[in-house]
Amino acid sequence: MPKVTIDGREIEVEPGTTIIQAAARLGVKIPHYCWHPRLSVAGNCRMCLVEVEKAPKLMTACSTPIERDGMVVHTRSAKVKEAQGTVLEFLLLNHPLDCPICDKAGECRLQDLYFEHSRRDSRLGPDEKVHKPKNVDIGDHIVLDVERCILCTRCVRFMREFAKDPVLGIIERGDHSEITIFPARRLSSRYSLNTTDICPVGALTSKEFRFAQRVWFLKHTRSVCPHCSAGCPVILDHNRGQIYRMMPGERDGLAVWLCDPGRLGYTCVNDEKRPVAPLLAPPEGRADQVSTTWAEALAAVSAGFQEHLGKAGPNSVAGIFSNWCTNEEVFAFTRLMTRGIGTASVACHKPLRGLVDSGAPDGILIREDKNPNTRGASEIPTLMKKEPKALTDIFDGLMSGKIKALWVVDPDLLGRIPEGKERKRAQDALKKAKLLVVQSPFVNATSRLADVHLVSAPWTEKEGTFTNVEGLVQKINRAHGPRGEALPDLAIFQRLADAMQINVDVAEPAHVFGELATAVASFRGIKYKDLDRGHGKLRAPDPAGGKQPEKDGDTKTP
Amino acid sequence: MPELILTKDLDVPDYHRLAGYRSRGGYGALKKALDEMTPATVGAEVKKASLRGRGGAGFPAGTKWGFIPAQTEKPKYLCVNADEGEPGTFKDKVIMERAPHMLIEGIILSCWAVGIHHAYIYIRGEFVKARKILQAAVDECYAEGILGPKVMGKEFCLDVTVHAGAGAYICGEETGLIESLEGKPGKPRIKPPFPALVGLFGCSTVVNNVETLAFVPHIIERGADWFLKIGSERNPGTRLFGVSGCVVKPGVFELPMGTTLREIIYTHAGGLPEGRTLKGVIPGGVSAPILTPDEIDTKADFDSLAAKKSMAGSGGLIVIDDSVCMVRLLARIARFFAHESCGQCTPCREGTDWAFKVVSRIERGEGQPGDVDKLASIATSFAGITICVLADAAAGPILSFVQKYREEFDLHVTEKRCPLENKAPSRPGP
Repeated sequence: MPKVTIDGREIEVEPGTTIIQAAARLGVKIPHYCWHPRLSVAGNCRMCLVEVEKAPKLMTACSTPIERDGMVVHTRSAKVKEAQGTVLEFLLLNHPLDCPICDKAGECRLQDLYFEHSRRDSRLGPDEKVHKPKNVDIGDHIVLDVERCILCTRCVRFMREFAKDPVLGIIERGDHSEITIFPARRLSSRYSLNTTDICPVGALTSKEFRFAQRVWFLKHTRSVCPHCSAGCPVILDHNRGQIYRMMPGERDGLAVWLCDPGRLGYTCVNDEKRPVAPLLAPPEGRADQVSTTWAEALAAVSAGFQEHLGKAGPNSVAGIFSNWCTNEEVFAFTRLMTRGIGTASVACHKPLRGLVDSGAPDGILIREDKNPNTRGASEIPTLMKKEPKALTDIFDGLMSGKIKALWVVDPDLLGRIPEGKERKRAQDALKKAKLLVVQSPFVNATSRLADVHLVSAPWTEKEGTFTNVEGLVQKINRAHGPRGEALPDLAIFQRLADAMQINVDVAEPAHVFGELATAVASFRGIKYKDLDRGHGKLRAPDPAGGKQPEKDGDTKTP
Repeated sequence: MPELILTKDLDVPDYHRLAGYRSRGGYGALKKALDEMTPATVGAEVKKASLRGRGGAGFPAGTKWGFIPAQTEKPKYLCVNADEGEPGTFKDKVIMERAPHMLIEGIILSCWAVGIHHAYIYIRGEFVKARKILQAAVDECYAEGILGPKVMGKEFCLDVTVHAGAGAYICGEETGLIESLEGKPGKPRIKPPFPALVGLFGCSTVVNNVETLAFVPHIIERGADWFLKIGSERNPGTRLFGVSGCVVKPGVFELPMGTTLREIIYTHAGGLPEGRTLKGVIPGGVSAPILTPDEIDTKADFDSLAAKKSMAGSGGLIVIDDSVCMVRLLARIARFFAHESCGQCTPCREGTDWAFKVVSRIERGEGQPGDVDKLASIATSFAGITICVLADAAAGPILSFVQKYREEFDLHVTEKRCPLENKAPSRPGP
């Protein structure tokens, strides 16, 4: 393999590796705009020029491959620095410099690289800048500011190469060139918001994020998108208890792409109407739930469960968990129900429908299953040798009166069942319960039926792990909160167990994961703290032959 | 009179038709090659003749052909660069309008030598007359079996397609031409890979200029040794010089390479009109740096002009006399490059128009102290760091004008007006 020397350090690379890639491996950062590790090479910004010994001109590091031994590259020579300053001067020449009102300010590559590599004063003098259209609405989520654009064509290449919807292009020539959209077309792809991430400047901005928050106020928390089984790593950008946007996280050191519906699926956790304390319905009816304290709510649940357990036996208390529970919650809930309470009436609700409908699977990212942890929720009880019952068994038990009390741990049990006969049947069954306990962050048709609504923290306000469709165990982290009196699900399990004097230790996700990794073969060897370093860890093939989730399209995750 | 090669028979009636061309021995070289030579010997003869590309770069055609791999899985192509768009250049047009069969014969010979079965003539869109004549000549060749499945009855098939450009100077850059031919905007590609390896439709491609190919039949017919005797050292053959500007007899003149600029201007183009004195010569299309009157004894060949830090380019001489304001002329040239920059890469996109704005401000008498240096500095900055050489082409005139006519630029700034009293009237631009 050819050896290349970059800034005095030698590295051996595969033939065809470009200088920018080889430099990255040495930790040498070469400034660039148009180059993107997941798009084709355009070579148009000229920011990545480097000096290659024996080459007559400076070469673009993004497009120059290392084919032979002995190439010597300088990335910080006087000639290179001069060229970088020159390119930045040209890029800024016609740039409007409306940074004070630009959403990109603070994370703008033009700003950053200017301060790093140029700091020259403008020499434009009395000449007028080239003016181009501003505030152009080109898509459901995207606004284009043509004047700010530096014509790197990242968005054009993204739409052509990844989103397979080549609606963007460049018209005109010279400094009148502009990015535009085909007549009568909209940037309506389900992947459109990625263009705002890869836009190095504020030319493409997200309608949802425009003017919402200055980026330097945002705090960043690594998490996983819960809106389909692909489980894309994300960064939650938040401030003062509010999520402002969901940005792509990294996998294998590269930022991933995200779909728009998933990325915008955080809006329900920002809902101001989200309950902030447990809710209790008065004994006479389930109509008007009122806020209460955890002590009262748990006392009511505990007393109710104890009463039915005593009168009608352990199986009269049933539990439903779902594919929205973390692996730890699935494990803890299954243990608590089967060992602590001793019931065999436990079922898993794992419909394809989730909280956000991102549409049909497309073989790119979007999966048919719109839930974060179908694989974990399916596998863990099986591997614990606690085969759950079918959901219909629980409903049958409620209808026949064998099941008296039901505890549902699911953000929206009824809402995720298709409308019609099936949902009606579930609704009727829930109404039959003498005691219905719903544990969810949201108020909805399911929670309104509850005698007790245990208000839990949504995925942005708790931590734990999800297993995606490929078996990747990935960690979600708490961005802030929980809001008000809401509690993470595990904490609710612990408090209820304490109230029922059941001796378990399930409050802490790290501790539960430790037990899970001991008890469940396919988690063996995974350390909870390791999950914070990389985004997830691919598990060994399931030794117990756990049910494989359905394959819906190409497993082309980034 | 020096020996004429390309233009010897231009006055023959109907020379642009097959019969006329044949009456002067046309397609004899092709017959000779197909009957008596192999593709390899044709290539070797052209290589031996050191036929340098007449498009501007002067790269030897035979060497260029040699870069094409002999065995390829995919087809190979020839692109004939007939996008003659450099201001001051109008010599390929003469060949296409008056000797189209000479070009076609050159194309067939070249394709046979390299193993190509499809050639595209990418002709400048504005050349409507030339295109019609060329297409008619191609049609005649198909009808007569000179093109098609069996060229002159031999086991060699060749198709020739005439494709009109849409009016962009940058499509004369070989990879811009290829992109345009593929149906995309004419934006030059990053090199390497060069077209010889990855060209049209991703296949090995030769790109040759019209005039270059027109020489091929003559080299095959009369031999490389004959060709090498004409012209100057390492610059063999004749060349079509297009002379325009302030001369009595502008036009296209076929002269041996190495003829001095003085001889071209004064002996062949009739010199300057009475009462005018020479102020400068652009020797090879507007991208060639300007030469002053004391430099016109330079030989007009690739190496001699390069030694004078200019270039032979496309052979288009623009003669400038003392009535011309150099600032206005440069402003017009700068405007051309700013308008023709494809806008793909940063320095050229932003820099060419900025330079135009500065020079035109100086020309209007609105220049500020430091503007002349700024103009030169802008050109220095954008040259040499772009995907293609359009930026370098734009920098050449700016830097040479400012260096050689500095006083005139400075006067525009200090006196806020043009110092020329008998200035030629301004003509509106396009």
